[in-house]
Amino acid sequence: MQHGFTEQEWMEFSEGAMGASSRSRLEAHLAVCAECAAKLDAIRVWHQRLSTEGERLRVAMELPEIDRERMLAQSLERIAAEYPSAERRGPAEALAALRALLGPVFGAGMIRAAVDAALERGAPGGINAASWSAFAAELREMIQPACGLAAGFLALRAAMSLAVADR
Amino acid sequence: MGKRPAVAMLWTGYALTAVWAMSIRVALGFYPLGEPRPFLLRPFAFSVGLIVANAVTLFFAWKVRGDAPPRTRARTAWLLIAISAAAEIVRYGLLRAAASRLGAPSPGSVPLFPLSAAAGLIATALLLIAFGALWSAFRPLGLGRLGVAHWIGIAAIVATIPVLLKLPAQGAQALGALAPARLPLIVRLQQFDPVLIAGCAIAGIFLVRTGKDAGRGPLAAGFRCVGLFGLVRMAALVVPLIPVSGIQWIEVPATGAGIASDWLITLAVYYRWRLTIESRELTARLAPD
Repeated sequence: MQHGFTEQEWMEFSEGAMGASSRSRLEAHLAVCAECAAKLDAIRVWHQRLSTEGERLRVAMELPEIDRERMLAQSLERIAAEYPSAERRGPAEALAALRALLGPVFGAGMIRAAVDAALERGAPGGINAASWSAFAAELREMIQPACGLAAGFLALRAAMSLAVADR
Repeated sequence: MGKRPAVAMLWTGYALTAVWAMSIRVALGFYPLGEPRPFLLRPFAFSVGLIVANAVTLFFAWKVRGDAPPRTRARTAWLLIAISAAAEIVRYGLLRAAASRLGAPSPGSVPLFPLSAAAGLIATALLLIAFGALWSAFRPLGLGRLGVAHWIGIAAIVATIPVLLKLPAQGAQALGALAPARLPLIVRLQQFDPVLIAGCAIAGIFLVRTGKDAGRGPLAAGFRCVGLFGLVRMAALVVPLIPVSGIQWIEVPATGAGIASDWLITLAVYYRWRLTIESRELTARLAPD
């Protein structure tokens, strides 16, 4: 939480997914708060980098097996390197990393829908370190019936591979 | 085999079967039904391509069914698609057997035609139910909500149904010598065939929309193939009815693409199987050392 805005709200704003009223409230705050404006810039740069890695992962899926393995490894290393260090890592940033990781496999829209549904069921009071495991389990439950057991297991593994701390 | 070569092979299978079907359709003008003709231009020779397509569909649909959790709509859908592919194999096998006995003095071949028609009807009906089950599997996530353009498309398909319902009777007349080989019950059931195909086209719209909502990836690619399947099947029925001179030049490729469209279901099932493969590969990558 920073200046009355949650991590989730910051991510929604940077992705253009925020509701009109919350958006105008945040925009008004950004106009007068240099600290939050800097934070938003950082989130946008970081989000762009994750999206680039997500696109690389998607391309990697089209390649022959040897090249795919190499590109997957490189992308995962880069995501790990770009990822903020443990003391700065928040749930919203972990959600963005999860979307970047799984989007190329399932489709960005599918992951967005599954993450939203899992947040609603697994973390109705807001996502934090304590509710992350419940969220990950719900994410698996959301994806599995439609996309299969392997896909559900991937979603759970990917979520649990991201260590999350409260911010 | 990698994804791209496999997809290229399946598309090649579709194109070859469609061209084969078109050649046979054109050959009807030179070799009337029952007349001897080169082996590759015999009426049901192209069914080999469709048997291969359905065998591949059966193989991958069964594997995907195994990946779906028990007692889910997706598992039911993939099971129905596998059974539908098996029914299509039976259908084309019976057609081959019936064709090989065509003109023979034995009346033993006569029941093969109605049986193959019944297998075709069952296969299409199962596909339609499977498409509905697939869409409903994604519905809880809020994917697949239709817009105005989709509803207009559905209305257009529904509007053609009364015209399409008159088709089987015309088809029976066109069959000539083969018409007595049809049982009245099968003829009656076949009247619903265009309705089932229209239903598949409508289900295709729902699944294409679901894929669009999902975004890029194997899931969306598979749903696009289902949408294309419904489109080409409908086109094969509707194009001959368009009262425009020279429509026969479009009719032949439309019919060929429609006949060979089983390959599109094969592609859809293969894309879905790729989702399982890619999920396993990425899971292995994320596994703790």
